[in-house]
Amino acid sequence: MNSAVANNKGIKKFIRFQGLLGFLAIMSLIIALLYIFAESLVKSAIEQGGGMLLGAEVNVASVELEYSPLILTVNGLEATDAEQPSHNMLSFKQASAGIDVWHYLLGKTIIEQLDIDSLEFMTKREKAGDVYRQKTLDDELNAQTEQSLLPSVNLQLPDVNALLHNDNLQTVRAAQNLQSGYKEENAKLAALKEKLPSKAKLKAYQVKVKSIGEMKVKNLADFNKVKAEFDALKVAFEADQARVKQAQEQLLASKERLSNQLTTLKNAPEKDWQTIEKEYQLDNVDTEDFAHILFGEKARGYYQKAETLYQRIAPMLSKSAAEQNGQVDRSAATGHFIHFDEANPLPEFLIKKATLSMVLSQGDFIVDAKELTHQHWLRGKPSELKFTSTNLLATGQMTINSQFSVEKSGDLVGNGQWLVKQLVLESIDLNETESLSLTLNKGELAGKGDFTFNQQKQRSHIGSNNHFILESAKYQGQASSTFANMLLDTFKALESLTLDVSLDGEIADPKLSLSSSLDSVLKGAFEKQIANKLNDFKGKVNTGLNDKLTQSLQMNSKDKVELINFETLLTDTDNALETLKNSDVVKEQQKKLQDKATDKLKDKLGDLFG
Amino acid sequence: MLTLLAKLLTALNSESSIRQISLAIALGLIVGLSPLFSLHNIIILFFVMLIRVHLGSFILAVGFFSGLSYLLSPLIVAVGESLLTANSLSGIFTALYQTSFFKLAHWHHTYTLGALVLGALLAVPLYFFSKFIIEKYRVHIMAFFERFRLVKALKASKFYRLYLEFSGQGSSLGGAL
Repeated sequence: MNSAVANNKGIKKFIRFQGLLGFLAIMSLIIALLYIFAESLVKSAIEQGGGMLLGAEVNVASVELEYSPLILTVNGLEATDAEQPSHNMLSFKQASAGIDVWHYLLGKTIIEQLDIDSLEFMTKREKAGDVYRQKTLDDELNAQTEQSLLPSVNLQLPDVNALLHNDNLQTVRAAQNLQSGYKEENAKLAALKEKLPSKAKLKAYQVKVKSIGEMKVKNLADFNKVKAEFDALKVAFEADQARVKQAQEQLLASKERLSNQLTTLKNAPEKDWQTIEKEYQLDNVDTEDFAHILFGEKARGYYQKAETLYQRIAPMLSKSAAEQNGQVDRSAATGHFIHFDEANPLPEFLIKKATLSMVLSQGDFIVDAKELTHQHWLRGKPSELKFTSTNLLATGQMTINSQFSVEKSGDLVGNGQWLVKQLVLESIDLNETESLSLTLNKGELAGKGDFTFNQQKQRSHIGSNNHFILESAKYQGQASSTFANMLLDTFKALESLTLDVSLDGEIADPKLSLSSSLDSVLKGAFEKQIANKLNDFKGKVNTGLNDKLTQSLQMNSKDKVELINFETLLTDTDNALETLKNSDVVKEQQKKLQDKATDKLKDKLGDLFG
Repeated sequence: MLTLLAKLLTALNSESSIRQISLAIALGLIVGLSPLFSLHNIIILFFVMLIRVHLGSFILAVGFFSGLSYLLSPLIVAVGESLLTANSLSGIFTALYQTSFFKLAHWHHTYTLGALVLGALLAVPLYFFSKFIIEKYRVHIMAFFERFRLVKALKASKFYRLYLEFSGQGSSLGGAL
């Protein structure tokens, strides 16, 4: 008994059983406080978390929580647009999400069903929201760049005379170069010509050689004198030949330079025409790319809106995947979950099913989504999105089916198809240039298309093919040139047209290709009215350029003759010097001396033998 | 707050076990560094309530180390990150990850695991260091501080009256909790 009491005292020395009550009381208090303040805490978390994510004030009217099952309902959310704080980037009346509590406690947010009612974009706020992070101006700059890329065809042909009097024409400059080339090269050759032996000097050489040949050689001493005189003369010949050779080399260099300049001059008219075509965009007119001229800007504008939206969403998805793979430095403050392999892995965030109703100025949309996450590789299912509207611009029907998935590497891939019909278009400005303003008064549009996109770390790609049919169209506009008038008349006579738009390339700057039935319709009219004018213009310009070429060639013909004469002179002089140098006078004198010695010996032998 | 401080000082100067106070500070370190509502914090709280640990010291330690955790958070996250991403430990963590308790405790979160490991490692030396300091305090430091004018002024304040009240010298409410 005493031992038990002692043990009890010993335990009590270390354990206080009333502490259990205290623990239960504290836990109950915490649970009670959480229960009371849970809605306020969630509201605050959405406002602060959303603000951090979007860089601008996020407001929530109220939050309701149901606990069995856990359903979170958010009423009246407004997220300020950081670029335009007087408006909401998005807002909705009510959103409710059924959350899987067990997985939430394990660190994963799994939403079985998400419903968002009356989602709206760019609605005006009662009071401008705070902006925490300014958005860069990249998007605006991109927009300006896109605009400047668009061709604006100068429908007025330039004045032929003004063009031909332009000093920058290559024909003019090449002719000037050839002329100055002749001048410079002739000066160089004239200087060398001065140093060449004259005709008189050559004659004197011949006389001297002749006199050496006629010298009387009686003995060996006379012969040596003849040889010495001819050797001295040979040295003079070789010196003159060296000068002739130098002149020949210079002549060769001059001919090459002038030949190049002449070739440049002959090719200049063609190059000038190409420059004129490019400068005045005559080549564009020549290819009848009317669809691009008229609809290119509009198409780029629509694409840019879609791309801006994509660029806002895609980095969030890819970044999340990259972070999952530890590719982003997050050691700073808050830490993150690291998930390991398991039998049935689930993404950190997943909305299994979602239904959104959107109210836009263009109409009401219903969005049905499945498997919304940023870690598609875990369940092997892509996110699916279906947009439908039955009152697009009041009468149109639209369906977009799309699916996308983020791979473990962070790459985002997706594709989709779209269909529009019975879409009534009214007062759409198609073209607004100096010479032509064209407006579609009314028309009914139908279309379909598909798209694929791929956002990788190093490169991104989009491919899309779209086909539109515009029927019952009425146009109006004003034109101030012959060509523009023809264009306007053609449009007014058109009831329907098709337009094919395809995109291919980098997401930020894809290549846009457009073709339209309009092209073939306009082709006939173009050939009749514009082609003749353009051909006439081309003929005049080319004739003018060729005249300039001919004039230049005529002007330089005298110089050319001089050059040929100089070449003849050099050849003749060189030949004369070579002939003199190879003269046989020394050999002849030697032979004479030998003959004389032989004769003398014969005479002596005759006298001796009688 | 004054009451709480008074309780701590009472405990430090009272007959409360030095080990109880040191243990409270050491456990307060683990709880303070970790996210408040993590599972291991609830378990530690359970034991703090159950065993004779000085609660005032524990609460103050939690408050102090919670503040300190903001400064240490990069280090805490780095510790958790290096452990959870270490190739040599991936087998162990993968096995632990299959249990619901591991995930429920959020030990696969870099901050939570880092705080638990760092807290547990530092708790041991902190326990002995606290014991040493409290012993010194009771013998030397208290006598040293007694000589200061500030202490004399404090003794004339409301705080000191509370202190006396809790220490049992001013009223019948004596001893530690």
